[in-house]
Amino acid sequence: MTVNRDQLIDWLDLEEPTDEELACMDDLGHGDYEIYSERLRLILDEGVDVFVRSGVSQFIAARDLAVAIYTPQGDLIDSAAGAYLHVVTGIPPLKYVINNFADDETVGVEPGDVFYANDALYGGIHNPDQIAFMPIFHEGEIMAWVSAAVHTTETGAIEPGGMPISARTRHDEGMKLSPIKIGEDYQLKTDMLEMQKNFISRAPRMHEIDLRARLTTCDRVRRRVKDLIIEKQGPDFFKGLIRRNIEESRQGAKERVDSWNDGTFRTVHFADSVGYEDGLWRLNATMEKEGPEISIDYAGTSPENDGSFNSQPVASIAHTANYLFSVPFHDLPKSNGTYDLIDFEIPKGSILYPDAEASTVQAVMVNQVVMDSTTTLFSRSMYDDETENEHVTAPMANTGAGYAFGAVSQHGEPVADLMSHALNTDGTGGQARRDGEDEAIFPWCPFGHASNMEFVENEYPFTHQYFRHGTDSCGHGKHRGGIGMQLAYMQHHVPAVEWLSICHNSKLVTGQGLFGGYPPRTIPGLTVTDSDLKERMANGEYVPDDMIELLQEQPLDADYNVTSHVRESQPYENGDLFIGHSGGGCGYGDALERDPEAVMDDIEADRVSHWAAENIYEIEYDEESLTVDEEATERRRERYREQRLEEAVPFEEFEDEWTEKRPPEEILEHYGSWPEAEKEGPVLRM
Amino acid sequence: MSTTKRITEYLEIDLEDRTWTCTECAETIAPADENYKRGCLVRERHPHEVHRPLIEDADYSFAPDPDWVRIVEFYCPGCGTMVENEYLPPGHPITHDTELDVDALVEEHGGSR
Repeated sequence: MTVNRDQLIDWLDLEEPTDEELACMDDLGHGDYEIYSERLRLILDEGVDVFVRSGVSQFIAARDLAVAIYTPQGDLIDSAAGAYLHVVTGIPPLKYVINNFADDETVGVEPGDVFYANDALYGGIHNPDQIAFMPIFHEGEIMAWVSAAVHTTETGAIEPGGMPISARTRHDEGMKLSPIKIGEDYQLKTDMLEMQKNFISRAPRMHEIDLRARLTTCDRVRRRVKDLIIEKQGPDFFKGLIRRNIEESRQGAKERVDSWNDGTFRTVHFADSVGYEDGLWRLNATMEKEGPEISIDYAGTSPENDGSFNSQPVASIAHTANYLFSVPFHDLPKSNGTYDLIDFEIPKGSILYPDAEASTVQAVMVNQVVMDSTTTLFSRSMYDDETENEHVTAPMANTGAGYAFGAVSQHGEPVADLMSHALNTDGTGGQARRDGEDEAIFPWCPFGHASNMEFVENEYPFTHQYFRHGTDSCGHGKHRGGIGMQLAYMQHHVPAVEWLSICHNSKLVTGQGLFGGYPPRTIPGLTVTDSDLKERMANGEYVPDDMIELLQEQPLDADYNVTSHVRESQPYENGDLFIGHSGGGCGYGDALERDPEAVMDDIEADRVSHWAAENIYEIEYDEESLTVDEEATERRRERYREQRLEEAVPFEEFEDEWTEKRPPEEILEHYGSWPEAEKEGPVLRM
Repeated sequence: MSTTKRITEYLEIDLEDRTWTCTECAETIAPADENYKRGCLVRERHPHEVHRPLIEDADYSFAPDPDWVRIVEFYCPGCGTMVENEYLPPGHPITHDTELDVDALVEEHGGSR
């Protein structure tokens, strides 16, 4: 292994600007930055549109992608996304090219070159996430780099769908490319294309289309930047513009962070899956915040394991961008000027920094706890009445339920994909000022959206039996989290479709509520097989359209299989239901403070149940008319507060009894020592 | 009159007395340089009290599994407001989630040193 992963982390810090760049920045005239930084963003937005129109896979259709521009030294200037983590993970492989290949006479960098990378060891997330780079030249000088990145359909791994849960080493994950030149003179090299299609033989047509979409996007952005900024205003203007963009990001974030409370903030989050096994592990995070500087230390996080649930350290850091760029710094340029203010300490040997041979293909699932944790740490530091707490929020669902399939389609074409419906409909967290958004977003990609069902059904051999609210799936609180979604894919047209799913939150949920709010319920897996569903449909009989109804009333003559949400790859026959759901956001504040009328609205919209109104929100109301008895509700809530105080005990008394408890030994295999989560022995990878 | 700095939805620091106090009832909870949770009344709850299982007696019930996690609720001892809760495996140490630089707070917002 030749990669120094500590170097990759260091590369997330800004390179020192040159005197020339600083002088060019000072030479910008009044209004230049405001006009041309906006023009740059519009060009990047155009790149996103080109990407969406050129690609074919679900992630592209859902806009779960990123287009970015970097300095000649490889620092991020700005991006249009999409998935913000992709723009952060563009930095290390690009700097790897700049530092190792640019002056290598067997590689070099020339106008029209295209580089490509997808190996997490070189700073990526996991190998389905693939990124293309192109330099922008002007009169022989590299002015910038552009990138286009998206999660791809297939990787040629030991399971279909690009995210093999059973992977035990990096060699089980399929195609992994260190940064490599795949195009010259504005042409994709035929031998490089052939090599990739050979790796991706389960879905070569889709891979080629998406690969070309990345290149098309890079080239469109390259041409627009060159024509509309560099050649129009000159190279010195451009150098000043991009330096100013980074400086605006750095200064803006610095001033904001400086205004938050200084101190030490801690979170702990737990997850329940290690590959196909149920297993407890934890993320432990400590944030030191002093003035405008932040350091986050993940000491105390569980050790690496011999499965696929590990993450490379840059991937973990990049996951903080999903929160940072979409919440506290959403209105600033998305540059690594922001990361200049934050230091990260990630313990080697932990699940966030495993041995180089480890499989890290489930890095996104591992890092959902990093997203939970970052949200909570920052919200605790920034609470302040004077700012009206616009950005104070409980964590989003951060479940990212991934449903991957492989099949021969109704058109006779081999197809494989990772469906975007559950991914893009997680609920957001309850906030200081309002409820979370229902079925809102992909927490990894705030601007993504669930793809068009008609499009999916035209291309793929299944239909959507239902796609609707998951009642009571939110975290309850004064401001509840957003509701998650539930859906069922019914296999259609073809004899069988192979599915797998990846998601935590079957035994517990990774999120924690904020300031007395509750996290949401768990979301294990459900499949309904060998049923009379199609027969009922053919006869025009009633068919169910709700998971709770299926679970509790079992109206179909079928086998009902409730499992972990992590489901092994297996075929489902024509008419079988593969059922899924996204997660709800975590709640904010004491549920006894929730406006009872808001609960009534939620009941009417099927978001919240009568059970929750009674047992969580303690409301007196008429179930038929949904009319609240305000005085009786206030009395009931007061009685419940008194009940709390009667049943609770002083901290020391509680702690004496609590510390005698311990989880069952069988769930602690991957946790590390109890309760410190320290590594207890070597990990053997066979 | 005391000077206070709001820290969470239900907690503030009294900068004169250097204590955590409740924003709902002004109850003094704990010294400002300690974990506020140590001054709260604490109740352990079975997760099914808050998350109704969708199916009974199943390995996966659509509610957190009590073998894996319990709910620990922290109440203001004056008014019973739930100022925070944690979902923890049984016996896992309680998190000291907010350890403020009290001197910096006092310097910026006033109060005694």
